[in-house]
Amino acid sequence: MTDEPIDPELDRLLGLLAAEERGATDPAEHPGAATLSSYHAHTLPPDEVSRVQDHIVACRQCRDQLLEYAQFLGPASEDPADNVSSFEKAAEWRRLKERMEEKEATAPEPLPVKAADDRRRILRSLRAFQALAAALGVLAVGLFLRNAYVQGRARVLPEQAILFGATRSVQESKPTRVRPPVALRITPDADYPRYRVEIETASGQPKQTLEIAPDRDGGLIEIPDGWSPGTYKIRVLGLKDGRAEPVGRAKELVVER
Amino acid sequence: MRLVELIQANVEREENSHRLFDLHWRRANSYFRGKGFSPEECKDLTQDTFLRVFKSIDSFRRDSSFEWWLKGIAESIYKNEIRKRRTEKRDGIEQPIDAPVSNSERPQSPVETLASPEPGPLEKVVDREQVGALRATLQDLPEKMRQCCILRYVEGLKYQEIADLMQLSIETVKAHLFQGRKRLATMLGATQRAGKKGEGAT
Repeated sequence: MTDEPIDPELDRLLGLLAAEERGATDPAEHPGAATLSSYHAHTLPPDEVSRVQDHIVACRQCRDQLLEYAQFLGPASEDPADNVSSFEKAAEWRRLKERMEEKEATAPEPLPVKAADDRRRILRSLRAFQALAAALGVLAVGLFLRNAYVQGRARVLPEQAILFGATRSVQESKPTRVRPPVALRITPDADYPRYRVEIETASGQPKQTLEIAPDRDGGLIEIPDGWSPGTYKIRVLGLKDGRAEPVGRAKELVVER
Repeated sequence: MRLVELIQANVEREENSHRLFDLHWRRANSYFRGKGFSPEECKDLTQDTFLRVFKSIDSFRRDSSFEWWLKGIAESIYKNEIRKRRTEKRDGIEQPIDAPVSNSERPQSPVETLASPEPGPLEKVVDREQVGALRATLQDLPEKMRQCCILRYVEGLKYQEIADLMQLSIETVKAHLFQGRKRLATMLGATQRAGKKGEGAT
């Protein structure tokens, strides 16, 4: 009665049916671990049991979970390799304890309250320091950019040349009119390695004195934005052997707004 | 109170942990043996399992059984190990170039192709109809009988596995299968007879 009747044609069709069903996907929703565990423990209410059974007939994943669990709980295997002496099990327990102690030793210890407070304080000061450093950084970048801007502006300053020397020209007699900012090129018609340029106001107050070496710096001087409009006098002196000799006549510079 | 609860309540934690280990060590070890690892590898993997068990036992909520939870950890350790080994051996499968070609890989000769047992289009249509009728008959079987038949004939499970899953005795499973097959065969005979009658009428 319990032997299945032989029917090759039925088996063939069942094989075809199985092949068709093989590609079917598992249901999207599964009972939770608690439900499956309770189902296995026969502690589910009957309607739940029926629901789980319907599910496991259709769901390979849950079926495998339950079968594996049954095997996990089942009687010990007859494999001689599974027969471990209590001595060996005790050795395994010692090894596990050692590993647990090692893990505990390497794990960072929770900080006591005071240490935690100190740590927070240190972190706070570190954050303040970081904020300060960031502000200084921003300031430095700002200064650098400003400097680059100023230098950039100086580099593109319109140039105006004033000739100092023996050659006389129409320009010499007229004052040079400039609108700051502007770069003045002092081009002395003489043969000195260095020159001193003295600029003074109309009332004779020295405004600026600087030395130039036309071979090296191109003889440029800058008249910045800050100069108030008015007439200035420029005098150029040639420097040689500790002596200063006037080169040409003093020129008038009219700074306009 | 159960052992796990005692451990979670910090009652003689070490002694109770030792008892829990003694109680379940063999189970976890057998699990890895069942997966085909060597005895030494099994011991190491069982160690890893219990290391994780005792590390996270306080977070075990007891909504499933401890054994279910333990099996879940063992399964996770097993999967990690397999993943680790796959990463280590990612340089491909070695196959000797003079390895014999298996029958399934051997290309079929033209004669074999001509003599192929593949069913013709008409047979395929008939088969499809009969499989459809078989599926409908399966659905008409009583619940337990249907479930046993599907698990056996469609899913290919063993009697013992069906008995474990459906919480039936193995004898009951066999009885359901016997009755189920009889009904399916009767249906199949009736369908085939009806088919032949239909053919005769045309």
